[in-house]
Amino acid sequence: MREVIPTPVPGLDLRREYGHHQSPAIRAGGIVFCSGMVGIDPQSGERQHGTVTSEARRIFENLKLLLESTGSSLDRLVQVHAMIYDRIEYDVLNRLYRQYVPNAPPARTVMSVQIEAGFKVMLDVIAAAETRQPAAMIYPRQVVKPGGWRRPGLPLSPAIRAGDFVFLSGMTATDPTTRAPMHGTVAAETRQILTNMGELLETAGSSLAKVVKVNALIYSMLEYENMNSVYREFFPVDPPARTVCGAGLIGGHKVEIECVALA
Amino acid sequence: MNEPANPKLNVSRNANLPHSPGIRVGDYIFLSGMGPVDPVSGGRNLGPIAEQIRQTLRNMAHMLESAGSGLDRIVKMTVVLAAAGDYDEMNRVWREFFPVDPPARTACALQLSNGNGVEIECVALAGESPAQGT
Repeated sequence: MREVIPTPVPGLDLRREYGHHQSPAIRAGGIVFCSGMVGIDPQSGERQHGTVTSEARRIFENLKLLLESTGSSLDRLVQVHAMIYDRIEYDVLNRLYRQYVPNAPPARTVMSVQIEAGFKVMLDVIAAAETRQPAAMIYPRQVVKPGGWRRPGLPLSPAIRAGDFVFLSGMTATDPTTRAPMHGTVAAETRQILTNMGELLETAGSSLAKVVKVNALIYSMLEYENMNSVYREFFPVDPPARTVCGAGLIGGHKVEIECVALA
Repeated sequence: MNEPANPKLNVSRNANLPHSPGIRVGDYIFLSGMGPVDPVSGGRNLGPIAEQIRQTLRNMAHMLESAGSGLDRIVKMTVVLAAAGDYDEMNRVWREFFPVDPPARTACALQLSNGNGVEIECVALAGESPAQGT
């Protein structure tokens, strides 16, 4: 079932004011997929450019309206792609972000990209749906916590299980027990990430073989083949669907990889 | 997922890249990011951006239809443009392809490979198009 979620307030429909040909959100199979959200006045649809903090606050308030109108909520967020105009604002985003998802935050990947119309923040969100009737139809949302891994000091969970899927946060090359970054070549970072990813997925009852979709970000597309050469070792047959982009990464890493896997 | 009926569109195999064109799990199909591949030559169609976007969407339709789904079963799309200035062109083409109830969508501008002006990925519902569902 593919169900378009109508906007609870007129301003959130970007078709109306800006001709962006997209539905605000679509629900299918227990999951709500939202269009990328920017800082828009929910009533008038007017663009509210501001600081990273004010734009992100506006987005979360709008997201709350949208999700709650379908019986979901900010507590039900599963995976967020947080796009910011400049990675120097990473900590600014985190501070505001913590206020809205204080407990069991969603899986998250942050990247610096160019956003439409001069906005500084855009959030691309997947949430677990919740149908109020019939009462029996509650879709589960569960945070995955690998034992022995140090908790990230960031407002994100390493992985969230929702329905039949596990959604992972963007992973960079780190030592999972200390969270110390392990900077290296693109090949070395890719190897470390995919090793950690296998371990994380197994904690969630999944595995690399059950990965459905991968999003990989690398600091330069010139290094594409250097990532691929290692990647092949981890997915030797029937590899997952994948999208690779060159993007601004946080913390001096060269590679960041996230995925969706079957639980 | 079934392979695309047109083998020229099986980019991952043709370019020996370690990803599948798409994966089906349960009710969903996840397509890999696609660029404007010419379905006849298998090369890149690097014409005007509107044409690149049309080409990419036609290719995605072909991929989804090969798997028993279709453009009207798409739930969520992520569009990466090489130039942020191409937004309006994208929306114009979108209206041609998704006249009613368009999918949820996120678009941003990033560095792309091979000189592509656009790359699009999607999550779609599997199953027959268009009757099943709703």
